[in-house]
Amino acid sequence: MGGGHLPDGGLTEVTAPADVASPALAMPVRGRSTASAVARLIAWRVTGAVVLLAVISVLVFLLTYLSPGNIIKNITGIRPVSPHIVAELRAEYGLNQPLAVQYLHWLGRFVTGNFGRSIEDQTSVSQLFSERVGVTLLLCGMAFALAVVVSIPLGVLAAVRVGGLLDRLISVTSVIGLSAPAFAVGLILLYVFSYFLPIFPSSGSGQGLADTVYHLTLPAVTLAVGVGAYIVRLTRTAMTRELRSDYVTFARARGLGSQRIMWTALRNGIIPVITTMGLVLSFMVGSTILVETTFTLPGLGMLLQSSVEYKDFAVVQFLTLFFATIIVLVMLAVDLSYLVLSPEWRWQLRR
Amino acid sequence: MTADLLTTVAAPGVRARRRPVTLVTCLVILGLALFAALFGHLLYPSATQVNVLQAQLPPGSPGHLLGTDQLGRDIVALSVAGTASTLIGPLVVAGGSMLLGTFFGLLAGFWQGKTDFLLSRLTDLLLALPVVLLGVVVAGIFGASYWWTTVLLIVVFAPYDIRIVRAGVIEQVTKPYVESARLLRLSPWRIMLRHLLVNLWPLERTNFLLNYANAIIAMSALSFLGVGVQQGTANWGRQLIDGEQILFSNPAASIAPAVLIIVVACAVNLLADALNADDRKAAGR
Amino acid sequence: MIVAERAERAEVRAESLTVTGPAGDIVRDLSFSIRLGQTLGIVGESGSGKSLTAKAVSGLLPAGLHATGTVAIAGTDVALPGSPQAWRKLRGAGVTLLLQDPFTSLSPVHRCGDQIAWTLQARIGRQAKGTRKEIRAKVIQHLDEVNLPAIVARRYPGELSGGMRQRAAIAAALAASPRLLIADEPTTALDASNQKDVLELLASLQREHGMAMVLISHDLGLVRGVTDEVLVMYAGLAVEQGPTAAVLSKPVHPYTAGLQASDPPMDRRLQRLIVIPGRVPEPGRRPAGCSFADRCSMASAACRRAEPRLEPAADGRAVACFNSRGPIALAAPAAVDERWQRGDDAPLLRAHHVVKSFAGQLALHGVSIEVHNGESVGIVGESGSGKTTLARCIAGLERPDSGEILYRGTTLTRERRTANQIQVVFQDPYSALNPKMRIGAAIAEALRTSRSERPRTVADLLDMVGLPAAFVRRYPSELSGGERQRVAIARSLAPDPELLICDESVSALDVSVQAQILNLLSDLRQELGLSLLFISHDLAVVRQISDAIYVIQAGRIVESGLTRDVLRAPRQGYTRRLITAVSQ
Repeated sequence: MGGGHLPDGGLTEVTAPADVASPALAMPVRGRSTASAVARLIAWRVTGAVVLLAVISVLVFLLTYLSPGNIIKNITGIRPVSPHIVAELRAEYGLNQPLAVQYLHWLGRFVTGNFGRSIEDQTSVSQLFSERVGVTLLLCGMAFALAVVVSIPLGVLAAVRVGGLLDRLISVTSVIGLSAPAFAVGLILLYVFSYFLPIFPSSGSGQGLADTVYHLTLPAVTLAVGVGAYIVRLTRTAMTRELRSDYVTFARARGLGSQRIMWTALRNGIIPVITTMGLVLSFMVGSTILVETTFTLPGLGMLLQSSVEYKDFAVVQFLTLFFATIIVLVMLAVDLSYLVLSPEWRWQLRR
Repeated sequence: MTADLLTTVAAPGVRARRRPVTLVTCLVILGLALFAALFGHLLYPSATQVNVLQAQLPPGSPGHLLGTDQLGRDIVALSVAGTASTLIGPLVVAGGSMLLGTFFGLLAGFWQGKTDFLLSRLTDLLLALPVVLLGVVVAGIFGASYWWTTVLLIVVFAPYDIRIVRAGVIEQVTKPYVESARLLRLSPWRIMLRHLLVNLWPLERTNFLLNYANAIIAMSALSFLGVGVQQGTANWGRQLIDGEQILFSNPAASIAPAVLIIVVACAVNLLADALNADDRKAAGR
Repeated sequence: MIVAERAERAEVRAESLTVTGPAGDIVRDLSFSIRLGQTLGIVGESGSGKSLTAKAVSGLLPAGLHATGTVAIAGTDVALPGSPQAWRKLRGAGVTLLLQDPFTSLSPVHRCGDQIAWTLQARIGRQAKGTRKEIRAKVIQHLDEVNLPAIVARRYPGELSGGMRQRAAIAAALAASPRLLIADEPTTALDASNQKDVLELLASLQREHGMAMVLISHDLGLVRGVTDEVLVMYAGLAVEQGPTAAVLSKPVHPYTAGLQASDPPMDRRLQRLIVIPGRVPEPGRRPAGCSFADRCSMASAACRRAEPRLEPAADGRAVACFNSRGPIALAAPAAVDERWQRGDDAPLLRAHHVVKSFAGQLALHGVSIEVHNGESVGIVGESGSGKTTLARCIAGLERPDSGEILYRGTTLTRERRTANQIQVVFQDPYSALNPKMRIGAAIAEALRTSRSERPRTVADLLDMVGLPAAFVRRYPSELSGGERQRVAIARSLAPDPELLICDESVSALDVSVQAQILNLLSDLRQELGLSLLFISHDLAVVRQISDAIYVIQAGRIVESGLTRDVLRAPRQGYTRRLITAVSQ
């Protein structure tokens, strides 16, 4: 894999911790529940997400203050500045005011869409962002689609043949995928498919959609390896459990067709897979930094990495907050998707 | 496709015969890695010495089985010497987060309540900030050293461990044997250590190994991005970033450490799987 | 010729059925036949192989198990294990298996109606698949057959009670129109009041559809009146087989007789329950000769040399025993006179108006009970009635929302509790002991909490519960369920408690073992002057052990009094329902 840390999430059957990966509905909403229970749950989840984002924004804001060196230096970068400019900046950034006030000002600017300027490129952060976001979105989208399309069937197949040769093959392959950092996979693919068999370009993002997709194929495959391996294991574990369950035995006992039984099991088994999509996204964001660096793709990940190198704070702050917001929102959506996936809520509403 | 799927069942004997092979292979790989980590610097004391006259030799050059990098360092020597910095930090990460996870997880699971709530929110926070992102930003901005990066990763990994141990504890504390111990008025510490901890051991062991594999990957990812390991240090992640620039003149410079990372992380992951399977078999008896 | 063929077609047969697992044979050489329109009961305790027989006959054995023999259903012969194709043709319209647990046997995320419709579609086939409307009408018809309203079609299984779920499952099974319906402990997971209804429903559907039925149960009493023939299994073998009435009224095999005798009666309390000593041997560890010889009072040297085969015996039955030729009449133990009066002394324990709720839902609505010194008090109710919550509040494992728990007149707070006051024996013997701790260490740990001046030793305690001293070195996994429950009792007695709470302590055990534990508990009560609080759903068991009972329904005590009086002349409809449900 590469982006770092995917918790096991009950993949290894011995662990099966109840709520490590699945968004356990933290609030007790059982009892005399009606529509208000669902409303309460949604409100609770949304509040949680907002609080989480607020905390993250404080941390991101503090980054400039806690980092070694002078704040003005951090704002201006390594260029020499006159005392006049320093004073101007102090006033502009309100550096003479209490930290809390400064934070609110900063947040206010952020919320109104004024993300500041990059010291490195001397362009506005929003412009830098809009130039780079396309590549990253397309890369993640392609990788995600690839991973889902390949991995879920493989996971199901392994579960159906559990213990068999095919299962072992798929399982071992998924362990390798899980153990392979994105940059390592990327380098190997780069060597094989750009040099040894020069099919794909080694860097850049291309012009126009078709060319871009072509340029992004190798990076997307790289990114998909780790994500895909994780989804394979998740699907295999979930489906193995479902296929051993009583309702599958009873369905077979009634003479139901294999296809019908598979769909029934899949409908049940897919719930834990979907509820871990927040983790998958979090993982992809981490990996995309590595993949973009490996393939020198001008995306957000590479922008983040170079901004950190040049201590380009405005950009680092914006990107960190951007990624965190996306992840928090997706996790919120996944949490709430539980309402649709599990029928429990429907009958609670009915009462 | 699905016509016959449900009726095929594997012979139960096949798996049992294969497992020791996997287990032994993993242990051999990890043994070699341990040896290289402990004695690598003795085998190749001058692995990191620059020798510009011998730069970018292709694999198979005399005296350099895998060639040299752009600074003329022998790839084999560099890889062996880099084992320590690639594998020891992550070991500390996995160990440290296991200790923190066990301690706080036991407390949170046994007493539940507010601690529990705070810990869950902390995990949410860290989930929203992926490891690599956090590592790049924090370690990058602060210019963190190797050991500070290790500490950072312990902090990032620990909440997951706390949650896993906590979930394990919560699963156990409602079991009659723990309730009996409570009724005997045994001290909470005795219950936690003598009753809960021994039964959480398989969980802890699995989690330690998975964390170790993840930490190896995360730390080399950070090294690859130039964070945590100083330039010139022998380290597989560092070798990758250096080797990428000469990928087409000496592919071994980056492919060798890439393969090494994959092989070691695989061995650790497969070891976790194999031990788990043994546990399940024992439990089934 | 034609007649013979028709007779064959009307029959379900299993011949020389053997199921082999990794440790050895689990079911061995079992043969039976059922005519359409008839019911066969297969009765045995856990480990007898009855459930695997059901799975083998429907081609649903789990991985790792192998079946041999022949199964013939409605003219189709299958040589076991049988090809997937053969089974695919036979399952559904040929044979259908109904599972024990209604909570897991339907998919939780699909509506009940859809799941019944799938069976219909599988039977009719895709081409002949009717319109949506026709299918829906048929689904409603099948629901009606099991006395469920049409609206259930639109419900998810999770919305239904256990009894309704099992009915929905029956409807789904019958939608396949099977020739043979195998029902594997179909009522065991249900509450007493549902059990009877579901059993009667199955019996009437079996008659209406004219199908053959196999009813699998651990309870000899349950098959009475519902089955035509009965087959008693022990350690994978048929030991007695024949017409139900004959086998149940005049058992010939010592095991059948013992099994029946160890079932406690509800109409009287016995001095001592009859028990079958020992435990069921595991597959692969069965002794040479007769598997039952070690537990049999009639065993002779011949029984250990050779294995008895089924031989014809009285009343058209077959029995596998060398020594028993005629019906065994086990001397009925003397009934005890339950004339007993509660003393005027202050109660040992008094729970006063205990209220407890979980997540906003009241589990106990102000419950008050008393236990006097040396008394045995029963608390009886169905699952969800709050009986276990009450026990846990008294033991201090839950904190009541309001109300008082007085022990010897003083309120029990967390701080005031000591180990020598109240101990609990839980239901599940498999999680009652720390799996990583030897038996000796577990009991020794408990002994250290004793405040007695002359504390017992580990060996004393093991002896008290009838276990050999050599058990100290064993781990719980090496023990049977009954043995584990004995160890759990020994551990709970170590601190010399005055009150022992038994929370469904015998309900997870087989009948013969249950009788052993009940005898042990009443011995211990007499020896140690223990007071008992016995929580159970089973009135017959409570009759044997408790002097007074409280009947609890939905978190309220609805009736209380001396056990004898309450059971003889119940005043509440709820109590009456519980009584009739047990003594069906």
